Amino acid sequence: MKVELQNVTRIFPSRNKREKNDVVAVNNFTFEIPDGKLIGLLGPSGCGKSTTLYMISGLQRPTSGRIFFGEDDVTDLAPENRGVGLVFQNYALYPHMTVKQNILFPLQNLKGEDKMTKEDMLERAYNVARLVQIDELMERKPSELSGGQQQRVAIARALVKMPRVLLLDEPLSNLDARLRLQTREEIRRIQRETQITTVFVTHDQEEAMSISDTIVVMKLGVIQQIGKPQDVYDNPTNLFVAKFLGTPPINIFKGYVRNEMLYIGDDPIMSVPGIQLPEKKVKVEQQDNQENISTEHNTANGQAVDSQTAEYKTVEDGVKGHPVYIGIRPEGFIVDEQNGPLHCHLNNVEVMGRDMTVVSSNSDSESGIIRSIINSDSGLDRQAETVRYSLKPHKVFIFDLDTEERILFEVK
Amino acid sequence: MYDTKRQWKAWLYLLPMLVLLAVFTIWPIINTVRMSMLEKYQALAAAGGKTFEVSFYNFKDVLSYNKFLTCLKNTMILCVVTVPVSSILALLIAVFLNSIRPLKRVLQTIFFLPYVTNSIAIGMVFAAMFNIVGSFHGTPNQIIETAGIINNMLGVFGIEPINWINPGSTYGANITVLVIYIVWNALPFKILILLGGLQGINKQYYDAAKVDGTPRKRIFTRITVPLLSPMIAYVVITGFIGGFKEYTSIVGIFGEDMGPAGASKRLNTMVGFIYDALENGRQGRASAAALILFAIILVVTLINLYVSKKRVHY
Amino acid sequence: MKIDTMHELNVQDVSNKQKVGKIIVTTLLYVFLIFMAIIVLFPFYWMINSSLKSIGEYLLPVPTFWPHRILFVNYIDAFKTANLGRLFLNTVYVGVVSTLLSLVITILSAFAFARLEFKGKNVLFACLLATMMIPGELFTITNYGTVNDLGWMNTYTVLIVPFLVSIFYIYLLRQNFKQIPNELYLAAKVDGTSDLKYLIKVMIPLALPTLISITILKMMGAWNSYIWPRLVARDIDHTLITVGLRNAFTIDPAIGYVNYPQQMAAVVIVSAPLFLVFIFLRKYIMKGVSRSGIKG
Repeated sequence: MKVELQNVTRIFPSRNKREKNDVVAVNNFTFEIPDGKLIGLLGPSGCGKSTTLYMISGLQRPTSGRIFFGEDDVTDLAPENRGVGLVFQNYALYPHMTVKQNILFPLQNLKGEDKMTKEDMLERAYNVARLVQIDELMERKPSELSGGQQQRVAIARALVKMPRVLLLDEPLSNLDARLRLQTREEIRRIQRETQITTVFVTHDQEEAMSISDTIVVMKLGVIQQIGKPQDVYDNPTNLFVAKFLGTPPINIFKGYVRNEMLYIGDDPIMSVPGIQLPEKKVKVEQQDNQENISTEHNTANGQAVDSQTAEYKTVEDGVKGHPVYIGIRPEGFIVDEQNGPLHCHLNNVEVMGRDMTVVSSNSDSESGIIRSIINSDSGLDRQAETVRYSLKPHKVFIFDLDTEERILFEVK
Repeated sequence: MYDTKRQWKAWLYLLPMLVLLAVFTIWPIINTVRMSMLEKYQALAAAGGKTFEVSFYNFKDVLSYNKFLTCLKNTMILCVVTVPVSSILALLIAVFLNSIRPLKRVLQTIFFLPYVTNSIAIGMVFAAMFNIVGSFHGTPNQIIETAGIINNMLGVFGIEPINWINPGSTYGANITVLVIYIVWNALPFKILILLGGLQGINKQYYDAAKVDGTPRKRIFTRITVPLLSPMIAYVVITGFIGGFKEYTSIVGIFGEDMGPAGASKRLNTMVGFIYDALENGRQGRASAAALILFAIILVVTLINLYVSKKRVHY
Repeated sequence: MKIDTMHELNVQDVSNKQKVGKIIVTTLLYVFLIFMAIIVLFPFYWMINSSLKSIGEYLLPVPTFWPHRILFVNYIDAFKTANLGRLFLNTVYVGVVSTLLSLVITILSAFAFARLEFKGKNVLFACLLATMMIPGELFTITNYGTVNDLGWMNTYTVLIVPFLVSIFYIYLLRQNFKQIPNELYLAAKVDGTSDLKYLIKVMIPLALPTLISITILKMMGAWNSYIWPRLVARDIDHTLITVGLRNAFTIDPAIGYVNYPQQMAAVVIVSAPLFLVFIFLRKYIMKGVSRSGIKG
């Protein structure tokens, strides 16, 4: 079953009637979930991912926009008529029923064509229980189960009626680290086996990356990027997405571009041929006797270079080029003691077998600390004060300082 | 760990409470047991120097005493009828209230209103509503001046006026009026407790049930009632305890005669029996009856707890 | 294993059914609730309606749902007939004095149980709670004799003293005191604040809502008390309002009936203060009452 959201918006009216500060939880979402795929909705808390999930389930209604299951417009349909299975963050297993009763419960509600005989229900319940490997626990009460077991029961209960769409709301957040790893593989396996279109909400990027066919990265009710996990990781559209994905997180620097060369501090770290610097609106001081807002096009190519740099110096004192954010993935660093253009202060080194994490610092780094992952036999002098890096161009992303949008350049 | 000075201080804080408690609670407990064990004990005679034999006479006497058995029967009937009726009504009202938005607060306030009333005063209102005024005291030429608002309303449905509480009324009619009044009076407390319990149930259970397309009736029987069962048990237990101590509702409607004129004491309850014995100076009998009442309340509470332990989830 | 999912539904059809179903259910809910609300309110309405009628109109074969002529004079007559002024003063006096004394005792005991350490604290508290199981009638038998021996019959003392201790209120307040972080107490100790000063300056203000609940419930208790006052204080100088109300209206020889409108007017007068309390302090009453539910 394909699920499609068209311009879906959800506004929570403000509680205070006098002040009108309505919360836009979900802002104009449009995306399509192909049949049989697992989609991860990813974002920090308050990004509207759970609201989106609840709107797909029917428990919440969009303020505007339409939701389609296949070709059917289900926007006005109550949850019970949508044929969805929902796994809640806290599982919401009925505490007074055994595991078996919990799993049977949705089946006993089926009507019309879906209505089943008692034997069929039991058979189906046991099949699903076997699928999630809890068939041994059928007579227990939820309070007698571990978190992971409860989680599987919740999935079984959502799956048992063979929903057209399976929805999971932060299903792993209550599990400890080891169980989380194990269970997410389990969810992936179950989804592959059943081929049910599945939507999965999480704030944990690793979780989303590891099991989703497609991830949707969200922030403050707005979709930031949709794509395959690896594509989003390799090609983030903006600073937020770049920062949100990846462990250890991406290293952010403040730097600038001049003459198709990328600088951090005084180090010319990498050439960026064909960089598409955006039109930049520069606010000019009144006494400069120019127009208040001058729009200029920085292509940073050959001829205009000198005038441009000159202009920058007049406009923003002390800036030596077009200022940008630079994001470098931890695996984008290469230790190069002789020729590495980026100079950093070496703090310490954490060896983890084949790889090691080098912790260094640089005054232009946003967080002050740079984590890079380097091959252990890279010949790094651990006693040295400084470390010199050269960079892998496809692991370096440049973002506009104001819009935080990605600025592209040619990677050879 | 405890230094003596602070110990003293603590007891000083408790002193007023302890003195009053000793005189008006602890001593009465001991004394009641004592009096109940003294054959035909009467305080007045005891003060005059009379001594009494120790025996279980008072208990036997009370339990074989017709008037007491009437009181016991009345109390039982009132309990057995009013507790389930009021509990079920309160449950329905609470569940419905919990599922609506507009008017919720207004209705909630209305349903709580009977809690803050004077049961004697409102009993008199109920009496007025059921009262027939006129000369129809079994005489052949009855003149009914007014049959009361309830009879008038029943008349709309073609029902002949019923003698609810006046002289010559039947026991069944009297009990019906009492049941209506007691249920009316018991609703607010039960609704308040049950509504509080409902608001404490995790909303996700309902969301889960909704996603699974559970019909309302099934949500009610399979989710709401089981999850609310501790509160339901509480409401039922307190209902029984209150029921066994029923007294003022009857005074409110029927006056201190505890029955319609010509059939006084017909509706007397166990508490009423105790006070009658007390006013007649028969402290031995009153004590035995009070201890029996206590025992009944204890047993009913224990049975309720036992049943609810089996049925109540969590 | 590609599984067969649930049957798809005819969206338009289901959507309509769903709407109609919802409207029907909502309507039924409201019909039931409003019907029950009317039943709950009806006695109050009838009480007021009757209290404003003339006796002649009251006795009409078909009752009127609003008086043809509104007779406020019933209230004045009722006030005189039942001597409500005197009863009112008696009751307010007993209510205020017993509430104040009761509050002091409750606060001191609750503080001791919540904050002070002494041997046998928990045992004592458990014993106190156990006495709540015992029906009050059991105490009354002996107390009746006790107050008689003390010569308290027909005094205010007899109406006030025997009920000053309420284990339930002590329990309520102790729970509230316990919620106040112990660090506050320790900090006060370090600053050299005495227990009593701490109690007055910190604990009481913080527990004010509970104290208000207790005050209201206690006052309402005095207003509604019937059994004990009827037993021990029957002279007019000490009769409480509920007892007086029940006994004031007998058959009026002039008309041959009880003067029902007057009786209802008296009932309204007695009920009015309770309604006022209800309207303005409902929150506290509900809190106090529902707290009793949690103790379970």
